[in-house]
Formats: sequence, C-alpha cells, structure tokens
Amino acid sequence: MKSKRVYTFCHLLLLAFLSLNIRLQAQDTIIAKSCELPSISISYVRAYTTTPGLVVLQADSIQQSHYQAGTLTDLLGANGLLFLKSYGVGNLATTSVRGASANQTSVLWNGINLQSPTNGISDLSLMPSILCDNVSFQTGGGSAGWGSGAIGGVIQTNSYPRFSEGIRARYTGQVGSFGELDQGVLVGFSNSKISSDIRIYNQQAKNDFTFNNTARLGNPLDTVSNSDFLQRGIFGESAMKFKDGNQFVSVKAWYQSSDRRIPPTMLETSSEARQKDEFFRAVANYKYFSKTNFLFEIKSSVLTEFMDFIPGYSQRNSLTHSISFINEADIRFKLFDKVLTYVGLNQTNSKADVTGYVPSTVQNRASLFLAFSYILKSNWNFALNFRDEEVQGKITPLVGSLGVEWSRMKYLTIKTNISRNYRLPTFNDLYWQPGGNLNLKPEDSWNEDVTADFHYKKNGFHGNYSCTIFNRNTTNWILWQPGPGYWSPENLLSVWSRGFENRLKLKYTKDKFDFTLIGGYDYVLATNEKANSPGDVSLGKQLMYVPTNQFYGLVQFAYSKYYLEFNERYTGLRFTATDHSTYLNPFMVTDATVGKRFDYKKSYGDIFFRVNNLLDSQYQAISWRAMPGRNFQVGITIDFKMLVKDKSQTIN
Amino acid sequence: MKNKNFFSISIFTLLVLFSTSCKKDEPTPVANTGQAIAIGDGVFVSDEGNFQGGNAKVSFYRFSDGSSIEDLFSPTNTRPLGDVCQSLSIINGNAYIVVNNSGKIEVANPSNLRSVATITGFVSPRYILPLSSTKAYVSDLYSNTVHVLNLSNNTISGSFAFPGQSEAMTLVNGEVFISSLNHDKVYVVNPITDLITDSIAIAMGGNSMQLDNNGKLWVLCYGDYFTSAAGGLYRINTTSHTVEQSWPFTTFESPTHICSNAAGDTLYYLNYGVYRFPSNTASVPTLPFIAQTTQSFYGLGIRPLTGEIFVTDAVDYSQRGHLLRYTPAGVLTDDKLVGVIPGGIWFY
Repeated sequence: MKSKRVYTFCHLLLLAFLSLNIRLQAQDTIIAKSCELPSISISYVRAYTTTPGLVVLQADSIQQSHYQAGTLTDLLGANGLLFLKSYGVGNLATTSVRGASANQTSVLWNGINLQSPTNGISDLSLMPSILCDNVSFQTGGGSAGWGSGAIGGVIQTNSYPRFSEGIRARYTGQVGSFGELDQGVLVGFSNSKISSDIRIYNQQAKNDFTFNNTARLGNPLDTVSNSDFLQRGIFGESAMKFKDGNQFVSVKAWYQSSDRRIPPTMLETSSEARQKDEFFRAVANYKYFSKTNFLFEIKSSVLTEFMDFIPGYSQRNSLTHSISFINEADIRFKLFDKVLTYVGLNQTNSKADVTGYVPSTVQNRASLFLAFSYILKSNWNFALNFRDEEVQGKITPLVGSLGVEWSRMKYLTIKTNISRNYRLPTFNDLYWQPGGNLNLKPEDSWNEDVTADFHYKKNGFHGNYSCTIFNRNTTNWILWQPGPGYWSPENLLSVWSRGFENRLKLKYTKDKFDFTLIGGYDYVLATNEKANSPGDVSLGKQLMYVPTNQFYGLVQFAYSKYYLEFNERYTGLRFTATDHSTYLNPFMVTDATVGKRFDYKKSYGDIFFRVNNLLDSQYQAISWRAMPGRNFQVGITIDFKMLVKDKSQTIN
Repeated sequence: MKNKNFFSISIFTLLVLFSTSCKKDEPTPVANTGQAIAIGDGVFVSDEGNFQGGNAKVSFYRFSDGSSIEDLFSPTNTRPLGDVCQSLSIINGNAYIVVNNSGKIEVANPSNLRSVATITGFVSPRYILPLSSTKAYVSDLYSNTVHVLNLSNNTISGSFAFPGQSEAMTLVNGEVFISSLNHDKVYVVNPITDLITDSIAIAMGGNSMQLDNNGKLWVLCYGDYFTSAAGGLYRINTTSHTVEQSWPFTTFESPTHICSNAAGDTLYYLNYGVYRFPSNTASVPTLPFIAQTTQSFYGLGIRPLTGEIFVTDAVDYSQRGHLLRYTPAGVLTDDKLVGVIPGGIWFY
C-alpha cells in the first residue's frame, strides 16, 4: 500500500519534469555498483567507464571540511587540484587545465554539465562548497562520457543522500578580513528509506583591501573599490529507496542569487561595473537495478540562468536569460558474460534570450552514448566509450575513448587512455549580432595519457606517488577575431599541449600523531601551432596565461584533536601577449591554518584560525588585478547527528 | 584529424619536454634609443593595448633612419602609461596623451614623453581639440558631456551636456563639429558659449572627420553596432550645416580614419584596406588603393610633408603590432614593430 503511494508520487514527479519538454529524453548517469548507498548515487556509470586510464583526484576530505563556508574557488585553490584563474576575491574564477581555455573544462553538478549554453563558462566562484559533499577532478578528455566541453578535464561536484543517519544538522560559518562573512546551515533527516536535507547559505564580503599600486609612481597604497559581493541560496534534496531496495528516486532543487561589483584594475580610476547572477536548477532521477547487473536510470533536469551585466557609466547593460532541459536515460546490461554494456541517450534543449542576439534562440541536441567495460583477471581493466551528438540536425564527429588499467600487486598501477573530445560552439559564438558565425565547427581534440601510480602502505605509513605524461592536440579552437566591422569567432587555433603531472601523498600516523604531506608539480607546454598571418609571431609560443610550471604543497601536523597546516601554491611565469613581449612574474602564496576538532558521539565540531597569504606576497593572477595581501579568517563548524529509531527498517 | 600512434607520441613528448625545459622563458625587451625627439623627426603611434590589460604605450618612428621605439612613456616615467591609449595631440608644444580607460590625460614633453602634468576626472576620454592657447575640448564616450579644459593650468574647467557619446571633433570657422558613435547626428557647438547650436543628420557611428581643401567637412560613419545598420560617408557644408552629398555603405562594415594629405585635395580612409579619392569626387572607389591581405589594418595617417601613407597592423590584437610605411604610390617601404593594438598615428 505504502510503496504504491511512493510509486505514484515518483511518477508524478517524473512526469512533472518530463512534461516540461515535448521530446523524450535520456541521460547517461546510471550507477555503477548497485546496492551500497551512498556510493550508489555518486558512482555514475560514466565515471566508471570513462575514467579507466585517467587520473581522478579527490578533494582531500580534511581540506574539504575546512573550506565548507566558502566557494569552490577557495576549496579547489587550497587543494591545489587545479590551476585557477581568478579575477579577485568573489569574482569570476575559471580554470585552465593543461592550457585549455576556460570553457574547455566541464563542471558537473550531480552529473549535469553546468557550462552556460550562452558563453560556455562555468564560474567556480558561483559554486558554494556546502553543496559539494564530494568534489573530484579528472584530468584529460571526457567528452565520450560527459559530452561537449570536456576537453581539458572534468570537475565533478555531487551532493548525495545519506540513508539511516537519523537527524542531521550542521552549521558552518566563518568571518574574515575585509568584511567577509560566510554562513551555511544544513538540516536533514533520514531513515533507511528516505533521506531529505535542506541547505541555506549566505556569503558576503566588502573586499576593500589595500594594496601597493605598482601602476602608480612610488607604488602608493590604494584601496580596492566597487568590490563587494553577496551570494545566497537554498538547496534541497530528497531521495527514496523502495521497499525491495532495487529502486531509487531522488529530487534536487537549487536556487541561488548573487550580486557582485567588479573592481577597477590598478590602471583604471574607478569602476561602476556590476554583475548579477540568478539561477534555478533542479534534477529528478529514477533508478532501477537488479541483482544481475541490469540497471536502468532516467534523469531529467531543468537549468535556468539569468545574468545582468551592468557596465556602468551610462552604458547599456547586457541581459542573458537561458533555460535548458537536459534529459537522459541510461541502461546497463551484461553482454557475453564479462562485458558490461552501457547505452545512454541525452537530449538537451536550450533556449536563450540575450541582449546580443535574436530573442528566443533555440538549440536542440541529442546524443547517444555507448560504453563497454571489461575486467580481466582483476588486474586488467578495459573501457571503451563512444558518443555521437546531433545538434540542430547536424551530426558532430564521433568521439570516444579507450582506457586500460593494469595493476601489479598493490604497489603499482599503470594507466593509459586515449580519447577524442569536442566542444560545441556556444550560443554567443553562433548567434551574437553582429559577428556570430553559424558555420563554426566543434573544437576537436585528441588526448593521450600514460600514468604510473605507486602505492605503499606499511604500519602507520601510507605513500602514493603518480606521474602522468600527457599529450593533447586541439584543432578548430574557436577564437574571436576582428573582421571587417566587428569581431567574429572562427575555428582558428591549433594548440599542442604536452607535459607531465606529478602527485605525491604521504601520510604517517603514530598514536595520537598524524602527519600528512600532499604535493603536486605540473609542467605544461601549450603552444600555438598555427600562424594566421606572416606577421603573426605567436607560432610555436606558449599560450597567454598558461604557466609552464606550477607547484602546490600541503603539510599537515595533527596531534590528538589539534592540527596545524600549511598550504603553498606556486604559479610560474605567464605571458600576457601572444608574442611573449609582456609577462606576469611567478608568485607563491602560503596559507596557514591552526584548529581543533571536538567529537561527541556521532557529532563533531571544528574551530580554526587561518592566515591567508601568510608571507604577504604581492602578486597578479590577471594583469593589473590587485590581490589581497595577508588576511585572516576564523571559522566554526558544528555537525550534529542523532540516530532515530527507524520503524521503516527494511532489508536491502 | 588523424589518429596517432600513442606510444610514439609519448616518447616524442618526453623528448620534446626535455629539450624545451632548458629554454629561457624571459621575453626580450625592446631597447629605447634614448635620443631626444625634435619636431619633424617622425611619428608617434598611440598603442591602445588590451582593454583592462594596462599595456597602453606610445611608440615612436623616426623618418630619417627608420628606427623605432616601442615604448617611450613608461621607461621615462618609471610607471605604466595606463589602460587604452586613445590619442596623442601636440598642443602648445606639449603632447596631450589621452588614456581612455584610465580616465586621464598625460601632458608630456614630446622630446622624451616625460610627464609634466596628469589631468584626471574624465570618464572615458577619447580626443582633445584645442580651441585657443588656453582652451580645449575633450570628447568622452560615457560621461554624456564634452569636457572643457583650461590649457594654462591643465585642469578641467567645466563641461557641457552632450546627447550621447562624443567622438571626433573639428574646429571650422569658429564652430566646433562633434560626431557621436551612438547618435545619427553631427552636432555644432559654439566654442565661446559652449552651447550646441545645431545638428546635422547622418548615419550612426560617426567616428572620424576631415576638412578638405574646399572647406567641406567629411564625416565617416560605421553604422549602428547594435542593429548592424550600415553607415556611410558624408560631405557636409560647414556654412549651411547641411549634407551636400552622401555615400551610404550597403552593409555594416568598419570604415574608420578619414584623413587627407596636407593640401586637403586627396582623402583617405580605412575599411579592410586603404581607400583613396579626390576631394572633388562624385563617387568613392569600391576597391581599396592598398588592399589588406593577411594583416589587420587598424590605424591610418598621411604624412603631411611627403604624402607617405602610414598604416598600422594590429595582427591578432594580443601581440605587438606593426607600423607600415608606404610611398604615396602605395609601395611598402618599411615595417616596424610597435605596441599592442596600435590605433593612432600622430605626425610630429
């Protein structure tokens, strides 16, 4: 009786989402391993079949718990997971993976690509950490699994239900220099069948820090103006398992609004620029799995986006409204005993109203995903993926990936992956008036990786070192170029990226003492391989703003419940002109945190004090954009859990 | 895209990595010759640099030996010039360098560009027009005003309301003609009272003006950027304030920089190539006199003394541009590196 009601409820929910869209849909995230939750909802099929051969870095969990109140910019920045290009605190932050552009890396939220259909950017500063129960970063191409845009890599952020945890409540807050106040509250309830939580957050800062203005004679002290920001949002999710444990349904909804002012550069006297972003995102998802490895998932999401860019000084503002419906269906079954086969369908319908182009511009896309995964003798793992997409009736080139992993004992894993990836032109590229170019081809990229991953574990010691050598060739790279009268995008660049990435993690625990060292060093050459005129001397030169050398390190000492940690990030020289006539100097930023953790039964608390930019280094990530010197943060997290007698206990 | 052998690529990559990791990263700065600049020596080039990139520069090219200096201002003054250098005008023996996105004018000694004064308080200044030895107007993109400058103490003495973006300015017979990028008019201003006295209907996007040998004012418009409405070329009777003749463009293009030789009998403009026609023409040419091939022509100027044509090439707008020197017949004689996005050519 009860389960019937649940069925009806789920069907209604699904219908509600599906009816938003006339054409039927599909999605490609099923779950890999069946029965264990919560891993069930985070291990998407595609994560399972597209990552063999690639390096997937998880945000360190300790780190993650210390950056709960901020945004992904802070979390990823402190983790050193990837190179961030930030225009300053609270402002646009994007990533460049192995020299890829800002819109060549996909940011996924619960398996849904958040790249804006209009400009292709996903701004990490608009992603609050409190919504990310789990953050991972996969380097190398992932288009076969995740579709357009996954040329450089894929950042995955997931929130997931926790069943059988009873009542949960968490408060996290931090105050910092320059009027920073970030707070988040989570309240949740779960039993073995139902899990629900709601999260509310608020982040604000004045950002009125002082800096030495190196653009002015004598480098006088200046104060940043027009730099405050405010971001708030609410997120809720509910998930349900069915009585027999082989069906699962979840709904997540998220609203956020942010308002930030964009400060002047060191060479501008003032700025009135301001950007307001507002969005609503929701996803409903249903899964069915059987004990025989058969799995079926359907997922439907709606993403709305509103952006108002106000340049100030009586210039006209630019409005962007967009709505996307993304629907996916995945099925997994066993083929020839050992080969797991996945078939996925994705349908994306987007509509945009933008000041720059014809109102109600629509784009319909459909893609088919096919994957095979094969495990041989438990130390060989193969995965083969394909995707083909149809955009407005045009078929994009077939993409795919082949990943192989081989492990020797528990000490060594060798991985290799080859993939072809693509990025579709954005709405702005296609439709902007004037200049939009309807003849643009998708960016086309081949990526090859080899990784050696060493593990060592003995007594209280755990060591892990991996080295990846990669090569990537991207052609048809879309670039806006001045033409007769206006700028217009063309498939201009050919970029060759290659280099190596090193990751080291050492952990030693003895009694109450705990030592952790995490380090990374990346060497990236990303060069332009095509000159567009005889006078163009950028041929063979490193792309602008791509550092050849990057390093990060994290050292943590913990004794009993006390901890002390240092974060260090080094970014090498970056050129700011394609002919290398100008450049930004390398910089190093160190943060130090001291804190204490409290535990009480299943609950815990954490307080910390942090000094950001401990050595007060003056640096520029973007030309003439001031960055804060030494500054301070104090934060607290209280996580309360109480198990509740579960009357609906069922056997899973 | 051809499929490649993965292992050979890996090995090749390794070799490349090791062979290139020793390479020096540092760019080579362009030397400043340090020789003082005298009247008639050469031409200043205002290099806009990238918007918010802070890499605006003033370059100099010497006629006699073809030597060039990429950056005059910042080595002399040990600070960057600013953001987006829009124009440079010699007034009362000083160079007035309008730095658009820094909202300022640097007043400098033209012999070495040592700054003698900095005038601030503009929003988005574009060009300066001297009216007398003590008074000048400064056009502005976003202030909805035209600024009035006191040249004796280099301060802003006032402003008058202007209906939109003010751009090019010309003083003719005691009247100032001012074009607007976002209005389809040329406005006539009385420079004594600072009042708009008349307006003349043309196309949108009036970006440059030139007075010819017959006392006619030529105004070049690129059209409306937002609606892609085409612009046109207009010949204005400065006495009757009427359009005598117009040549509309059929599509939205980017005609800019109308200018003339010293005699004013030959006019030139830039539109994906250099166009040339006599001032008494009945029709404007449909084909360029100097065609643009792989370059990105961006600025244009005619050397008064010789009639030589100077054009700038912005290449990809993210690297140093070129100053191209042509004979009056259109034969390329020199090509020198200047700063990023060289936009203005200012003969000294």
